[in-house]
This record gives sequence, structure tokens and C-alpha cells, in this order.
Amino acid sequence: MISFKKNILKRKSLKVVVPTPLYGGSLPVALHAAEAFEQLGHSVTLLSFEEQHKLYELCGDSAHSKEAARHLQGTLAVLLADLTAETALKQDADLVWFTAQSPVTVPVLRKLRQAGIRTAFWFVESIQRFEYWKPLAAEFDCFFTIQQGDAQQEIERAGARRVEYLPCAANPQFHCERSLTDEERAMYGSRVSFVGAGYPNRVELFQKPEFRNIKIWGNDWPSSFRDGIARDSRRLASEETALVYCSTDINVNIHSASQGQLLHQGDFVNPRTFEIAACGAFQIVDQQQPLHQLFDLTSELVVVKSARELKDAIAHYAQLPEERMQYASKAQKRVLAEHTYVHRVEQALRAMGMESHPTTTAEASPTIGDLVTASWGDRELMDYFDAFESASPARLNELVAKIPAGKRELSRPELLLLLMNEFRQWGIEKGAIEQ
Amino acid sequence: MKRVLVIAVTRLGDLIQTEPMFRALKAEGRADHLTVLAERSFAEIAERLECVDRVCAIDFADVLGTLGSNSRTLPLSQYAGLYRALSDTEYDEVWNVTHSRPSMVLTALARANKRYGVTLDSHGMQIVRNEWITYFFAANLARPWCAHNLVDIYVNAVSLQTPFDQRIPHFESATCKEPRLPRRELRGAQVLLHPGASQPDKRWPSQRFSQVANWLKDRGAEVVLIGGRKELKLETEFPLGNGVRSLIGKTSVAELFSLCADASFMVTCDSGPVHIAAAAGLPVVAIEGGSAHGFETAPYGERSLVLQPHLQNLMTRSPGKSLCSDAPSVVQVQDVTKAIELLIGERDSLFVSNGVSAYQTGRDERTNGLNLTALATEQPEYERALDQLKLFWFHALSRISFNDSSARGGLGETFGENMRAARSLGTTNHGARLLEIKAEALKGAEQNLKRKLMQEPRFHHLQAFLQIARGSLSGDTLEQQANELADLYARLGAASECLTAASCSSTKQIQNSLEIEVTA
Repeated sequence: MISFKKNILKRKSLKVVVPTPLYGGSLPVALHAAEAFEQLGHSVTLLSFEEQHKLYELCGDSAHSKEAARHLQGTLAVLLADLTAETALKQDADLVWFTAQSPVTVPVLRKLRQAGIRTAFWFVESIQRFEYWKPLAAEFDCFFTIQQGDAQQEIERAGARRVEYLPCAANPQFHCERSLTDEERAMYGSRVSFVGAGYPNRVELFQKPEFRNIKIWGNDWPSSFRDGIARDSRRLASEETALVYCSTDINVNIHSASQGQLLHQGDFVNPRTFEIAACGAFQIVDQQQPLHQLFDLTSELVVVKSARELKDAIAHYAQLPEERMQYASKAQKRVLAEHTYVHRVEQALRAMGMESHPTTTAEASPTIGDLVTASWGDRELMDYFDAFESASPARLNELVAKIPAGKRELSRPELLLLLMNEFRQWGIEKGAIEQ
Repeated sequence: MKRVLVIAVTRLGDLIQTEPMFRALKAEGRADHLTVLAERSFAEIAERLECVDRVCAIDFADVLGTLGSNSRTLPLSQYAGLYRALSDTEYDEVWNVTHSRPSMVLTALARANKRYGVTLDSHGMQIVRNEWITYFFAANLARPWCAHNLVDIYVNAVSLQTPFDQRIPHFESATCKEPRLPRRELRGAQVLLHPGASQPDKRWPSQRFSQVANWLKDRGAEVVLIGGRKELKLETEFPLGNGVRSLIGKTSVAELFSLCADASFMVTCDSGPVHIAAAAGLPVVAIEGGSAHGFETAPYGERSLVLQPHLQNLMTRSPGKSLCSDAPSVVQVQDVTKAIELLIGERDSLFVSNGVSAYQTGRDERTNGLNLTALATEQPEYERALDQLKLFWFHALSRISFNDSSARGGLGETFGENMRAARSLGTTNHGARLLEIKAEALKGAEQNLKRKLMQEPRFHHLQAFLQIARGSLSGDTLEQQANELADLYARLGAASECLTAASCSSTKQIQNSLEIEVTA
């Protein structure tokens, strides 16, 4: 089903450390990404901090004041971030893959950089909704965002060295077609359902009388929704969401928004879009700017732009099971072909110049991407290396051979490379370094 | 304020030997503030050099640390930091006195108006700025024929007029302005023995040092062994106790200066301490040989003695780059003890073993530099030839002699006529024709130099000198470069007057034939 397996043999195995968030929607994303790294043949150390969530809550509950609670929780976050760094250093990791809400600090990122360990941050949330990413942005090798447009520029303004668009994805191991038992179908099934937290725009939308029949799964919904909320208003585990999607005729997928329009045409596509599709389930999704780049909106997804359109679409497709199946089937093929976590990890590694190392390459041979990391904070150096293919090997003698000495004025980065080469030759002559 | 950076990422001895050049830069008004880039382990020493205002340290562990084949990346941030340290100030001049290829690129990276020494031009091509340093590089290819002491090469690169006493290295207050006379008897005298050397080929056998130590001890002297930690194993060769004590590996360089201030003299191979002793005004018995010879590296100052093997067959063979002579072991124990007796005034003359030459250091009134006067030698022909070479280069690289109307070198005179003719053509605005004529004249001059002068082994390095000089012309236009080269050839021609028939049988012939055919 997935074509990556035959490529594993050709790849250089990376040592990747994946620290997870303690809780929240980013937690499964981190777990799925870790699995994708493993599927690609890389060696993964998963630092699952989910268990520390109880301690985190205890810190909050035990403290005598909010300030003390913040201090305790902050201390725990720093400890977990330090633990991540030490793990990466001990294992001589190639990459630490952070996800939104993973514990991380600026000193930890700098420590990793000094050790030549590369760092990536997949911010699978809206940057407008949080501020905590801003002081961190400049410290990652690569900042991956699920948003397009102005958001990327805002991240760059925060000092991010490299910003890459990396949309959400699905893990077909979790989100796939399932044969439900009658009991499961009774528990999770419905004609129309929605899975997600009670963000203001959703609350406002589903308060409308025409949507009162939609079965809602998720947390943070107001008490007025008590009758429509399934399973005690809690966040569903990934496996459970798959059961809901697979046993629902029409999955309504409304992106979150803190304010503004009920159905705002946002700049990102949520994980649910991919997950419902991966399950081979039918969905009606609100219009998002990048959707058309990810799916064929005429045959794979039913897209609506307003509450009225949503109401009409539900009514229309409720009568057309064959069409629903066709949409679902095509969307599923699209996701499996292009939008799994394996694809995302591959895209990310490609962006960082860390993919497809031929096995003949020495284990320690750096890539141009590594040099971009090493030249951190020096814009002239980074711009110089940006002119090269990120994944190509960065052997000093080859880089020096490309310097057109005698043909034009040399740049400072070229002189620095010459200096390194001369010191290397000198060090070899003196026996100070290995040839 | 004129700011100067000196890149001196070099060994201890070389660092001390370049100190007089630093002072010359200030004395000549070329530097008001002087920064030295030194290797970290010598940064403390550089800070104590008299006229150094600021020291930047470079740590080899940092710059080499991740350059090995097993490194996962390149130490770009360290190198960018090094660049920032070099470029945080705009210097009026940068001098590279290190002569290594890394220092060449470091010099190019510094922010400066003028660069001297080996560096890169803006296109990354290797050049050498300053003719004395060009000479250093050329002479380094034929070291036995290097007739100028390293201190003089550096000082002359800045100023030929620097008097002899200003060429002696200074080291803060420890420096004696006048060389001390060793006490006339050894009883109670403190004598420093340094049996080590950085390169094995420069070492005199430690057993012989031990015999000298015994000889000194028997005559009532207090012998102090000095050296670095790497030389600790040499201690086992010595009869420690009863007048012989070892401070090997136990002294800092600053403490070594204090020892030099209290001692009567030092016996050593060619090494860093020999130059520390010179800077402290301490007389030295220096045993040279292998890749070093006294004309190039003798302790700077008066009254020190140099013992070294003959520089054999150098009149007929092309000398190699590294090996100057036989090993120092040709020098015998009795040669050293006799030299000590001469040094303290117990004897008036010196007879040494076969194959050994002995010299005394002193001032050369002709060049303001160091002179080695032969005390006992069996190779006067070599010494005369070397003296000629010394004067040849001094005049060739001195524009004073070229401007002197009394200079009548065959090459200089004829070439000068040619240039005058070329200049007169230039007034008619036939630029292309002018260049063509100059090119012809330069070609002819160079062919003559090659044909007549470079046949001799002792001029082996002239070819290298010309090659470097041609590749380092600083003029922006072809005409300016042609004039530079013409000026140089003319000076070389004038300097050939130094090669007199009385000095060497072949030089008269060379001088007579150093004329160029002018066909313009």
C-alpha cells in the first residue's frame, strides 16, 4: 500500500529523538510522526511525556497560588526539555523533532545546535492562537507550519531561520477502514456527527436549530450541548475517532476558530480532514485556503462556505449513499498516496537536506543542510549555502574546489571555507586531526 | 590613530623574534595601536611584549576540533567568530609574520587597508606583499644561503634604518638593554642548560649536555636544567643533585625570563629559550645544526657564540629546503666547554673539532643587522659567499642603493637606459608600443638573470624570489606593473656590484655578463 519500504535500504538511518507534548491534540501528531520516522528506517527514541501530564496537573493543583503553579509547571517543562537534550546528546542524535506543545527551551535548542544536532519544530496549531512559539522560532533549524500565507511571514519576522509549509496528515495504521461490530456501530455510529473541541465558532454554528441533530464528540463544549454530546464530553483517543468516522454516514468537519465567521476560510487544513479521508469515510468540510492544493474539491471532498451550504449539503448527501462512497474512496486514495505522516516526514527531511543519503556516504559526512545549521545566525553564510542543493554532501574539499579562485572576487564565506581547508591540511600535516 | 594587526600564530621563538618589528612599526609612526593575533598558549607571552596593546587569541583546538574526517559538520560558527574577531576593527595595516597557509587566509579575511606578508588577493590568488618577506619565502627554499637573521628580515620589512640595539627583542622589564658580560669564573655562576629542541634534527645529544653539566659542576657552577613538560624524560640523563637541578617542566615563560635575568649564560640548541635568553640580554652558547643554522637563527645580540657543523658543499650543490647541515652531534663536548671558556674570558681564541664552525654574534655596521664573525672555521669560501649574498640582498631590497648614482651594476645601468627610452616614448601617447617595449626589456632582463646568475646554487632562491615577486605585483595597470618589475630588475642589477671578483672566482664573470641587449 505504501511505497516507502523499498527505499529504506537506500537510506542512511538517522537517529531521531521525538519528545511528545504532555497532552492535547499535538500529542498524537508527535506519536504518528515518530512512527513515520521508524517506518522510514530511522532509529527513533520516543520521549513520551504523556505520563508526566498527571505530574503537571499535580503541580497546578498543589500550588498555593497561580504564580506558584506556573513556577512548578514551568520547572517541570524545563526539566523535560533538558531531559530531551541530554537524551539527544547521549545518543549522538541527528535530529530532535519537536511538535507544538513539546517541552522545549531556548538554552536546550542552543545546546543541541552547538553539538551539531539539528532541530525541527512542527507547529500543528494556528500561530495566531498562541504566543509561546515566538521566542523559540529563531532557535530551530526548521520551523514547519501547517499554515500558508501571512503566517509564514510572521514566523520569519520572529527570526525563524527556515519556515516550511508542512500540512497535517493521517496515519493509516490508525485511521483506516474498519469493520465495526454491531456493538461498536451502536456506540459510535450516527447519521451525522462531528468530532472536535468546542471552539467558539463551532459552538455558535451547532447552536443553530438545523444542526441540533448532529452528534458531537469532544471536550470543552458548553453545558447547553449536554444532550448532543457523546461520551461524557471528553477528548477521544485516535483509535476511537476512527471508529466514529467509519460508522458515520456524514462526517461534518468544521475548522476551529476563536472568533470571526462561523465558517472562516482559514489558512490551514486540520488533521481531521486527512484522518476522515484515510478511514474511507465521507466528510463535508468548511472551505480552507490550502484545501484545493491537497485534494480535488470536485470529487474527493464536499466543501461548504456557509452554514446554509452546510445544511443543504447534509440534506443532499444524506440521500446519496453511492456518491458518498465515491467521494470517500477517492479522498482515501489521495491521502494514502500523498498525505500520510510518512510523506510529511519525507518532505521535512528533504527540506532539511537530511533525506536520501546514499549508503556509500560515510556515516559522518555532512550535507549542505548540516552546514546551514552550523552557520546559524550568520545570514551571509546561510545565504551562501542556500545556493546549493540542501541534501547534497558537503565535503570541504569539494566545496573548496567549487570556489572560482582567480576568476572573480571571493566572498567572505568562500574565504572562510578556504581558511578551514588550509587549517585542515595544516592539522593533518601536524598530526592533530585525522585525514 | 593608526591601527595595525600582526598575525603571529607561530611558535614561541618566532614570536619573540618578531617583537623588534612590532617596535619598528611604532617607531616609524605606522602604528599607534598594535594588535597581535597569537596562538592561545602564547597569548600570555604576546601580552608581555613591550609594545603590544592588544592580543587576540586563536585556539587550535577550536579551529581544528571538528575538521577531522569523522566530523558530522564543519565548525562554521567558530570560523565566523574568528572572522568577527578579525574584522571588528578596521586596520591601517595587517602584517602576516607566520608564513603558514592558514595565516595567509586569515590575513586576507582581516579588514585592512594594506596587507603585508603572504596573503590572498581579492580573487583568492596567493601573493606576498613586501620584498623582505618575499625574500624570506625564497630563502626558505634554500636555507643554507639565507644570510640574514630572522629578526633582521622582519625589521627590514618595516625599516632598514632601525639601529642594531633597537633590533634586540624586548620583553617588558626583564630585558637588559645592554648585554651582560658573564663573570670571569664559573665558581658560583648559575648556568642554564636547555637540552631540548622542538625538532629532533636540531637536538644535540643529551648525554653530551650531561657531560657539559658535569664539567660545569666540577668547576663550581650551579647548573639549572630548563625545558618544557615534553622534555621531562631528558632529566634522566643528568646527574641531578650536587650542583645540578632540574626545572624542566616547572617554569612558565615568565619565570624563565627571571631565571635568565639571574644567570651568567645559557647553553642550548636552536629553540625558543635561545631567543628568550637573547631578549633578556643573556649570553648564549648556541649549538646549531640540522634544519637550523646560525646565520639565520642565532641569538640576537652581541657576544653570544654559535657552534655548528660545516654547511658542506654548498658552493656546488643546490641546497634543499630543510636540511642545512649535518646533525648538531658533529659538535663535540670539548667544543662547547672551550666556547664557555672563551665566553667567560678564560681563553682568547677558540679551536674546535674538525667539521665544526664557531662564530660570535655582533653588529654589522653595513646593514644595521646581526653579524656572525668566524672564530674558527675551515670553510672561509662559504662564509665569504654568504657575506656577499647578504649584501646583495640588502642592496637589492633597499631602494636607497638604487637611488644612489654611484651604483653601476651592469644590469641596472643598461636597464635604466632602456627605461628612460621607454618613458620618452610614453610621452608620445603610444601606450601600446610603450608596453611592448617594456615587456621586451623585462623579458631580456629576466633571461639574463636566469642565464647568468641563477646557474649558481647560491642563487637558487633568486628564481623563487622573482616568481613570487612577479605574482605579487601591486600595480593596478599593466604599465604600473611593468614599472614595478623594471624597478626590481634594476635594483637586482645594481646589487650585483656586491659580487666582486675578489670574493668569488665566478662572480666577476657573472657581473660582466649581467647586461641586457636593448633592441627597442
